[in-house]
Amino acid sequence: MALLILFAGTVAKHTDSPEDNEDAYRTAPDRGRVVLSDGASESFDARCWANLLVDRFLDGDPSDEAIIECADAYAQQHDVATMSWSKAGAFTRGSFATMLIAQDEPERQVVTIAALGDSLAAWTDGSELLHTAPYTHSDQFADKPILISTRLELNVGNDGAGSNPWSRTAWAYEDQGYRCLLCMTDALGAWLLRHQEQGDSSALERLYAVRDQQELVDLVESERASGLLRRDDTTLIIATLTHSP
Amino acid sequence: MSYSAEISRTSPTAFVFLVDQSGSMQEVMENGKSKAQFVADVLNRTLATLITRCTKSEGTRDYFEVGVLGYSGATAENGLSGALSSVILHPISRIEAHPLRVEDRTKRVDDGAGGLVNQTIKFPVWFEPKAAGGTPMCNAITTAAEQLAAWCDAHPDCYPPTVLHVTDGESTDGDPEALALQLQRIGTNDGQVLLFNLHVSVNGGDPVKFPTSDASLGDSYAKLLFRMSSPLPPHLQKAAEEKGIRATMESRGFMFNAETAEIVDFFDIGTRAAQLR
Repeated sequence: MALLILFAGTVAKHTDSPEDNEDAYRTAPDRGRVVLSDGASESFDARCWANLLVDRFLDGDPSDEAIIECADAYAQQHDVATMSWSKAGAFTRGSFATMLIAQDEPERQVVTIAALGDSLAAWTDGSELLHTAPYTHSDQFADKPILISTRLELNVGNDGAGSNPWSRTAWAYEDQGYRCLLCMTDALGAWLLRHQEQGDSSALERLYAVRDQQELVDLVESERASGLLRRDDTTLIIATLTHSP
Repeated sequence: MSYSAEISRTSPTAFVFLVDQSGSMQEVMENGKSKAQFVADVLNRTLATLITRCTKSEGTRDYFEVGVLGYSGATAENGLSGALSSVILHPISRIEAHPLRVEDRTKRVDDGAGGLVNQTIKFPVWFEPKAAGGTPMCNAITTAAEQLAAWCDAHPDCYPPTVLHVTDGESTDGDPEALALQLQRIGTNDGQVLLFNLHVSVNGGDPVKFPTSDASLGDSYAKLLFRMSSPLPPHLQKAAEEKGIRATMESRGFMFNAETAEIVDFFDIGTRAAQLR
């Protein structure tokens, strides 16, 4: 069956400034594809960069050429010659973002995950958390993530050592079973894994139950208020890949 | 957990730079510049870096409030002048808007073919070098404490202020230790004021970087500055490690006998506030 999007939504770090949200996502259920990018705060124009990346990776596989195309498009949208010294300096520092690509391959009955950075994919049967990628422990979110930069020389893999920074995994499913994919940015990912490590499945249950934007806003705001969820742009996408139980 | 508050426009943090401008800062370093000139260059570059970290396509966001106090003779004064002379602490967007001038400087950069080429860069200047008179360190620390007590009262839940103190000599207006400890008792709900001390040297000798005890420090003056320095919070230990400087939970924010590279590292690590959002 085709991938079915149950929910996709995002909450800005400050709900009264949704225009500052630097997360971006695209879904193409007919092609079984979900892409998510989290623009880094210390960037000149992370919103633009994250949107260019999700537009490009909705249709293409991870490659150096695709990132170069995005960087070219980013450069064309900014004229450094007309900028103030501070904007020129910030532009020169670059923009940075994560990328998470989920692709359903029904003929193989797998969903593949390609990730760079700390946006998280989670795989569940609706009651238990089966797998997560690229991280499996909440303390991994404390490390500095690998990000895709507009400054191509900063991207891992451009070091001449032939290293490949993309994390790749595949999760199998069966038609008659039930599997659900959750894609989320880092604040939610760390929150989910922290609960799981404490033997507390309530975070998974609450995430899995979200079906409209207000429910996501309520969840995010209540957890921020209790100090359990880091204040950051927060995005959640929920998709099923098999028949409902 | 301390030193973990998010830093945002609604929840900024503060940096105060305390700069010794006494007569001995005229001494020339190995790079040919006076200590005063080199410290001014690094401070101006640090201010520019703080600004670019806060600058987005739509403008500069006020994640930080910044002040500079210079001290010499018998007084500590605002180190920023012109439109920034009226108060000590300014939102960073105001500092961005009011450099004294923007100089064109030449930087040697990789030409991509194994060579170096000259590149002209914009270098904003806010702080001018000055070197004359005594070292009124007690006065400077007291002035910083007055500013930061008021700031913390107004920002009770914010990441606490960081004071970066640069000196090359001993205090000439008394023993600063008790005042430094009082300054570090000021704080917000997220932690106490961080005081990091940098001793600038022209004498050679191995620099001491973020020591864990005063055992390796040769004289009483170095030991005093060590005692006056705050422990490095975990995220700054990590920033030091990223620069190849060993730092542990016991490390203090203190460098002794610092020369050019250490001075640059000290400013860079000291201004790495956590959780910029």
